[in-house]
Amino acid sequence: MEAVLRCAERDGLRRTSLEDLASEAEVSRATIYRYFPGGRLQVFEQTATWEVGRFFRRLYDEVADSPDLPTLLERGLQRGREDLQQHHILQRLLASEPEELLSALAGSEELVKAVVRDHLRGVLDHHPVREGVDLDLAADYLARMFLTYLGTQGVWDLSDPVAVRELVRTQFVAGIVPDPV
Amino acid sequence: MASTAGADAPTRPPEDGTAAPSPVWVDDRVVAAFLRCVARWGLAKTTLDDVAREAGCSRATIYRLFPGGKPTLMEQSVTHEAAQLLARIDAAAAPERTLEDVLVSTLHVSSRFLRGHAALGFLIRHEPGVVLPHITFDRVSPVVELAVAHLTHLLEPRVGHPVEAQRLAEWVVRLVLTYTFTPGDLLDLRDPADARRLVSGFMAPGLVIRPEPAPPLASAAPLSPVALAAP
Repeated sequence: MEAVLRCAERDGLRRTSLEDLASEAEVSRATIYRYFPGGRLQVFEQTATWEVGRFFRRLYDEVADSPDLPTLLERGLQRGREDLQQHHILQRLLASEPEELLSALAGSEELVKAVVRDHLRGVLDHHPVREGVDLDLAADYLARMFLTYLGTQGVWDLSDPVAVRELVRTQFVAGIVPDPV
Repeated sequence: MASTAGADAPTRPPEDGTAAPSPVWVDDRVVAAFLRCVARWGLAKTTLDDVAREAGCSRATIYRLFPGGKPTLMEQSVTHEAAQLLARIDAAAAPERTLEDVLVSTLHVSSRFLRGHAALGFLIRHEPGVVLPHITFDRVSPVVELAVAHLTHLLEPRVGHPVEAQRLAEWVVRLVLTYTFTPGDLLDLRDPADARRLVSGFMAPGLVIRPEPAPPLASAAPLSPVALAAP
């Protein structure tokens, strides 16, 4: 998978063949097919999933010590967006081959959402919440909101911490935590 | 966009009895045929010959109506379908009393339309690279921008402030998209009761309705959500 990342960064996805991967990883094509019977596209998809997993693990480590849920989400959004902008391979592929990239990522969408949701569900277990809030529903909602704004800021300027704070406190947690400011 | 249909265009008159088929009528038919083909075979495998056969017209007619061929047809089919959805949203919103009711109806009408859309469903399942760019990684496609602008216009009278209306419109669109592409099994927005759970549980408490004039964002005063029950 590291070979995939190197090839992707160097040549892009379209121009990376199974032969290129085999030679970069110093294994035979047969070996690759044994582990990835779906071939090149399967290797890309699973590498994407792996890299996405690493990305969120790193991000969580960066913000895990936040004092409360709104702050965790604010820091996660800001830090996450910075990390995405600095991810060379991602930015290169977005510029040159967005369809191929997004196809490779499509397979991991549900998994990513599940990972983020499970983290947040754990946080909610120990956090004061408004009466009557269904924690599973809340975690699912927050994961969706987090991922959509992580990817695209839309009409907000999320490089501005004041804007991030307002976004999180109105759209994310207003129905979940008591007395949002 | 539409030119006069040529000699090989279908000559069946429209049901209202007017003498000749209007170009718009022929366009709609081609779009509908295109969407049926995509629902069956996907975008990559649909050829203009397939569309022509399905629509009962010639390839030449299709090129006349959609110069640029398949990409133009795809683009305009998306716009066509978006217009259909936005019309349904408007119709559902018109009789609603409160802002909260409008949000509920918008979510549930959109969800029904998109999740029931055969061509979109095929693409999400088998050609996600075609549809995913629409709102990922700081790219917002024209159709999403159109939807946000339309909803902003719809919501502004009830929200009372253009910035808040635009934020709310975009919030709604984001929720529609996430629940369309990754529905999950907790909430089904096609069900109005679930749409209402989402709105009252997570949206309503965070809505900000400011009467004129709006304070600048730098102001320290927190904005408290205004009760939404009043029409």
